[in-house]
Amino acid sequence: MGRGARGCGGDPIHSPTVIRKLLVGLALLWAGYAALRELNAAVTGYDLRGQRPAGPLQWRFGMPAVEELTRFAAAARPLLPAGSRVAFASVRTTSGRAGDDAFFRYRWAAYFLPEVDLVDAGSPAAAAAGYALAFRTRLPAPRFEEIAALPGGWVYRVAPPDRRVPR
Amino acid sequence: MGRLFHRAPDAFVDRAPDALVDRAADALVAGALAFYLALGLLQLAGVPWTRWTLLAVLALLLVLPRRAASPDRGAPTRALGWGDAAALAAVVAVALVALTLWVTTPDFVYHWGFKAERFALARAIDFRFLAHPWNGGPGIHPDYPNLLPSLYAATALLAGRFDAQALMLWSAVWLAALLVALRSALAAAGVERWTAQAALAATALATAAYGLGNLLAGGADWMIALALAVAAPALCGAGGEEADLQIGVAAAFAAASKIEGVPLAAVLVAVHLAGRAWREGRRTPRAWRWTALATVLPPAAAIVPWIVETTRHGLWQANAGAFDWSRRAEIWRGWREVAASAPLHGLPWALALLPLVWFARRTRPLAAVLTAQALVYLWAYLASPIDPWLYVLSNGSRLAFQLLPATLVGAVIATEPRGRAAAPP
Repeated sequence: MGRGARGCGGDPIHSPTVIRKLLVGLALLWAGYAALRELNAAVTGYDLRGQRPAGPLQWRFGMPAVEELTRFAAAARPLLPAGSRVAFASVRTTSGRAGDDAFFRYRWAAYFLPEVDLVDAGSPAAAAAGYALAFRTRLPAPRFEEIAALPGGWVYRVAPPDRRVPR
Repeated sequence: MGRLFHRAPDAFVDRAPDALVDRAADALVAGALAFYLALGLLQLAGVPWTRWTLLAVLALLLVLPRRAASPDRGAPTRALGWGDAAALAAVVAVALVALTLWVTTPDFVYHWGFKAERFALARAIDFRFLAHPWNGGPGIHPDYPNLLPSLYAATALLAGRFDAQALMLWSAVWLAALLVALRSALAAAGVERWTAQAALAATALATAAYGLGNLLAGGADWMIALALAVAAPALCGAGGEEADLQIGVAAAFAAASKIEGVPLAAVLVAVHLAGRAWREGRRTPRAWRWTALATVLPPAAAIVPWIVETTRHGLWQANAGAFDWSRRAEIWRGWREVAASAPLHGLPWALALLPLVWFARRTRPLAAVLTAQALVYLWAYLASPIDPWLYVLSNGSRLAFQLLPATLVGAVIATEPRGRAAAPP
């Protein structure tokens, strides 16, 4: 670069002012590229949300696994008294780094059913549940009395301990 | 609700009357905080949150006594430019994508939104629900501060229904306020116009990309970043009564937003008071009284009730173990994986600009706050009972996000070569 080369504002092009502007401009390019890429990824991902397989740790609204739970919870809601304790059961099919899908189904179902105290069927709190939801699995009679078959699962009334048949 | 907040905080923040844009971020933060504290008072008085009680609170905030604006104070206003347009485009993009729920943080389902649903049903912060034994452990973080779920619950009660899509707009509001605050900081520091516009646009696009790629919509990480941005002009300025209050409100907002906001509040207050003591050691005790009151009272109002209720309902979660320096290798491995993840495009590495923020005397208080907060995060990783690599992978990107916008703008201000006094171009 010749001695006479000038940047903006009359500063020499190798001056700290111009170099700083160049660096800020490069940062702007970097950020702009990242923003466009992520905007594109978000829009494309949303468009293809119905076809996107994902482990439970990556579940998002709109994915098939979540949509099935949404429909199941919406169907169960009118059958469950507000404030009741409800045990949620589903079969675990993934674990490890992929995440425990039964656990995450329970967490999503709790969000979809805030009117009740949803507890994991495997937890000690489930012993006091008056109702049970079974997603894609069935629970044994006579302890669990079927109330209704729903899209994706069943809803049960749980017999109190003194009415349970000893095994 | 955001529009209603706009005027209320004039009771807290005194700015030049023509700097309407500049004061919007301060207004939002102070208004959200005042609203949250008022909700706490309603709960204390046994008054349920209903549409009418919430409207009454908002109306009351609007008629709070306002201090007269002084024309010679506050950041200089600048005409809108291309950087502002880029920032606006970034906010609109985040808002539109967030509305689809596709970039919603899983934590909205696991706790922020879930708690909000329960609070809206209970018409109060539902401590009975938070105290359920099955909500402990890695569940819903019952010991977290409740500003965000309370705002979500209040929004739902005012709207008449819980609409997750509408609640995502809060994230766009936090982002907009964050950019307004940083714009104000750049203007107050007298950064040359082209560089200020480019820095604002770069920060907006980087923050938007990060928020979209890391699925941050609906979460509280924007709020910690916003608290830092709102505090930045006060930290980089010459101090004064207005700065005392700005720091106090920013600290309170951080502490009420998320658990890591509590140490941030302490750091903000400590750095600000230390800076004032260093610069103005000869002030009379009487002059110090206002400074201490304005800086400490707002965070105390947010933190003390939270500590009392969390203790009273037994909500504390044990998540700290023994400090173990040998965990550093795993933490570093986790950090490299986080920074290299494709959706982040290397943006976490921009935190390496933090040493630049120490470069200029005026940005050193901001650098001290950012460094101290980063060290708090490092300490949490070194002293956590959780697998350090997994722990960093689970939240390292979000913690980096909180520090990123203020670091970027702080580096630009620190390297302003002419050290110009604040003046509109």
